[in-house]
Amino acid sequence: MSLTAKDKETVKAFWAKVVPKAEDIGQDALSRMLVVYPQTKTYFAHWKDLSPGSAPVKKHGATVMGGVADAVAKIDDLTSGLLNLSELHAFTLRVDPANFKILAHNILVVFAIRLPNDFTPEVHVAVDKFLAAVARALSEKYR
Amino acid sequence: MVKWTDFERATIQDIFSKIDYEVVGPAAFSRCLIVYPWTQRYFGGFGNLYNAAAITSNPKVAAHGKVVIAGLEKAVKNMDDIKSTYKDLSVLHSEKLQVDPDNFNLLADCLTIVVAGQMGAAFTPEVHAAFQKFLAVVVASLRKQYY
Repeated sequence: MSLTAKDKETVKAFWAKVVPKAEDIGQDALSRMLVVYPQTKTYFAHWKDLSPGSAPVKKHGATVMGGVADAVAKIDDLTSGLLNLSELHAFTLRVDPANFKILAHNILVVFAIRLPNDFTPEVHVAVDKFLAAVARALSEKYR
Repeated sequence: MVKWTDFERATIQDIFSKIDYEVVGPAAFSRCLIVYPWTQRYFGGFGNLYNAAAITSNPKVAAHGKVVIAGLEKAVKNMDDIKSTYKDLSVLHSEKLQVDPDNFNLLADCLTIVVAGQMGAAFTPEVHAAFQKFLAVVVASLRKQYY
């Protein structure tokens, strides 16, 4: 299920529409994940406020989307491009990789809400594949 | 037995009263066939599923999308006992249709995305959570009779 040339084109074109709303989208996706999949809160026990739209959630949503934007730029070689991030997640954060799928789903839901006309089924499949590829690259250093 | 809060109960009824079944059923089902193409394995008799455009305009796909959402409505009307409401449907999917139950989650994800698109900002995290819980109960009930 690797990214075809067409997938990469589709993702880059769609990303151009995401960019102006990226921080909002990141914040919404993260908020949503913490509410809909409460087991993910276990990774953020050190935050004072885990409620949707809180300051730590806003900040971290922007950080995450920054990471995804970086991945878009490095779409031709995600494994080496995301090496540092993979080490971070593997050795420091130690996030169970199953959660990457959960966050990806929430990002897709927010795309459907914020960009309903652009998030067509064809874009959906390309972006889903892309986020899965990002998850794989992030898992690279785990074991 | 599943316990529903007043908010969850009201939210599920509200969502299903607001969405257009004729649109949501076909949209969710066709999206599933497009995004997860291996799900097409169960629909050999549906004719042209060659690409996204063909799937979206396929009348058998649209018709089946409506069948699926009509099935969901049964759960909406029997929220306090989805498990027994779905007993026969579960047997059908297991014995006759022989559908890998992991596919139920794929369709559920597509349904969530389509409903989110329809409802926009009204699909808040809390509403999303209620909908997710509902779908999880539906999927578990459909899996129940598999052995």
